[in-house]
Amino acid sequence: MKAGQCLISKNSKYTACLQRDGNFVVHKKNAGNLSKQWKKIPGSGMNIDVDVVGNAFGQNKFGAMYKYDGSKWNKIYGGA
Amino acid sequence: MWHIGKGKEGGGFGIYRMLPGSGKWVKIPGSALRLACGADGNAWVVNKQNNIYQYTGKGWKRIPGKANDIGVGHDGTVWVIGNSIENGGFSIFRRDAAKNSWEKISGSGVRISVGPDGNAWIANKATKIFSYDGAKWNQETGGANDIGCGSDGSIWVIGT
Repeated sequence: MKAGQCLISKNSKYTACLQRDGNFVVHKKNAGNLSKQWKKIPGSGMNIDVDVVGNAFGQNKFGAMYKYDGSKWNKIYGGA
Repeated sequence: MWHIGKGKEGGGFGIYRMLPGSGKWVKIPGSALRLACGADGNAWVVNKQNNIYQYTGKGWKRIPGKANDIGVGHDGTVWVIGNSIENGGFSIFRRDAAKNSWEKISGSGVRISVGPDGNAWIANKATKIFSYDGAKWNQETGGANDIGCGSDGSIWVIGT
């Protein structure tokens, strides 16, 4: 099995994907579609992406990057 | 972890990568405007010329096609916001890796991200949010200027 490949459970509800570091990430299939509610998170930005455990990386209009740790945004000092 | 920096270059801005555990950003040759990272840890980017590149671990491989944004699912599925103007922004394509080609998906948008199941979420130029269920787009509540999908199924948006 190669990094990036996933196994899907028999009931198709769960997948386990092999990461590059050798760990598996297990997630509920279509979990993102289950909740139709948005929760407002303090802060603002221009661009957003999300890591494998569901925490966001945000970039504001000044180019500064922040990572959400579940309760607050922490500044990430980028390359340039 | 990858990010697009602030230093202007020919294809947009500089590209940086932090290897797990290193704590240091390393500049990767090349430049881009939009970036998405696959489960294998390698990035896909779109540059200012709307060209698409995949990082192979050694360098950038040019992928045929043009795009304005790109998303990669945890299952490796790649989607792009294309370069043809349509009502909601630009055309949408999903990559057929086996055929090394793009399949046009109906609909249009300006920002895209891909969920763990390989289906895309988009925001269109009217900031409306849609999720693809494998056959059609379903409008979601709320509005977004950008959207991100986590491998755990979390969806985050930059709101309106």
